Amino acid sequence: MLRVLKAAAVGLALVASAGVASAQNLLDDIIKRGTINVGISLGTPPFGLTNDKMEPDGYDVGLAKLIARDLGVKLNVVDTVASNRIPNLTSGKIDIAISSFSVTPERAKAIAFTNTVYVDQQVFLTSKDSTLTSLADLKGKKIGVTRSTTNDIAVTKRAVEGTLIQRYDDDASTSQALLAGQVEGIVTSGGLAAAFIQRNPNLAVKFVVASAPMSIGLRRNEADFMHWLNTAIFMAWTTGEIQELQKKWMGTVNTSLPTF
Amino acid sequence: MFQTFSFNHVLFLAQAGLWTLLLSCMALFGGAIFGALIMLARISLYAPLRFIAKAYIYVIQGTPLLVLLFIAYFGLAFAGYDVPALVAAGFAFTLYAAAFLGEIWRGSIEAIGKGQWEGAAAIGLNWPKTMRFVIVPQAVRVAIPPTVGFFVQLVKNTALASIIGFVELTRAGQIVANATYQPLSVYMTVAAMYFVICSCLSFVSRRLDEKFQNNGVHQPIT
Repeated sequence: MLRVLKAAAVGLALVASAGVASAQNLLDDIIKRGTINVGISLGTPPFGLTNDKMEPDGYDVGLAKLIARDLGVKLNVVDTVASNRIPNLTSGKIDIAISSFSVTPERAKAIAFTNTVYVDQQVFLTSKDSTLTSLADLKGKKIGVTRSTTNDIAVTKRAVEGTLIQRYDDDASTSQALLAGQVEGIVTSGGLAAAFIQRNPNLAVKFVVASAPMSIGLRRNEADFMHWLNTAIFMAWTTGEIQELQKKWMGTVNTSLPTF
Repeated sequence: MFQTFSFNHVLFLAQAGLWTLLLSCMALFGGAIFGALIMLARISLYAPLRFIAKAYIYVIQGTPLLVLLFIAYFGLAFAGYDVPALVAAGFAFTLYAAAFLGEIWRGSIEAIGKGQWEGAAAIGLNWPKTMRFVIVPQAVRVAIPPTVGFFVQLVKNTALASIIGFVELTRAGQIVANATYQPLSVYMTVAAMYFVICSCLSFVSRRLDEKFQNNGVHQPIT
């Protein structure tokens, strides 16, 4: 019985690895295929959203368009919620994820990150007249954050004991919770906070929780494609196209993009 | 950067509503066909068949729908099969609906009094004929309300398919809410669309109910 089980397990593993390893060289495959599948969350402004023509737009989409253009292939945007970025990558549903994807060593065990494409700040957004100005003030207070985002990771790690963290599935729900008064404040990306304050002038950023370099995620063991992506990012930065996108969507421009 | 909620958005939502409708239909028909097989296996005279059906129902009813969706989408991808989100979702919903419908229908069959079986046997009907002419026509009437109730639930559960990247009504609502930051009006529109789909189902069920009340089906003797 045990031997049968073992054989079945080995068989299953072989089938699984065959499925994933069928792509010999992703870079060549994408060029041959003529399309690149990019995972982007379309519910995360200003990174991913839909414009008034109901087409994908935003910083991440702009970046994806640059990459598709440089590859000479068509862009296929796959709507990917934050918690599905890694499964979508590892299962081969998407080629790369450009989805406000913050770099963490934990994530890098499962997937690979390119050089940085944007350095974001995770800020605490609350009402203008709130007296909460540091993490220590949040003890016993209910705060909101979007699940599985680096905002979530950052605040979960740094929050003092007794902070009540409420997790929501997307940024609209998180910000809605703030507006509805269900939470005292939310931890969100600086880019989103800036856009949000424009819309609701009675909100304000009280302090910075952490800073988060974001990059493009791809499957591990794709050194060739990784190198190509880094080259494309480097060139888009050199020509000023990345800065243009940052100015358009974030309102600010990074002084430099960290590389590793 | 943010837009005002406009007719364009409503069109986008309506389009997503069609996907919800399509997924619901896949779940309803797939679930009904497979559920009928499960029900038959569950009341079968052969013990192994009964056991398989029972185990199937036990496993599926004990698994969250979300996990089924994950397995259908990512699990198959890891096994080397690239299935589109619609197929994976339709598959997961079929498995899910079959387990519940199989149980609902078994209950309806068993609700028919023993006397009906004995009566059918007394006039020399075999098992398929007993089912077809005596038991099922009566059981259908018992089964309609819970079946429609489950179908309506199923339509609303299709919202879960957004987790595997399927842009149906709820996910479209999220996307529009994130583009407009007017979630209240967006979700009201979404709710209205779900209401239309579900009330159509309820309407059909009421008509069916009336039809089966009036077409001279014998009342069960209990």
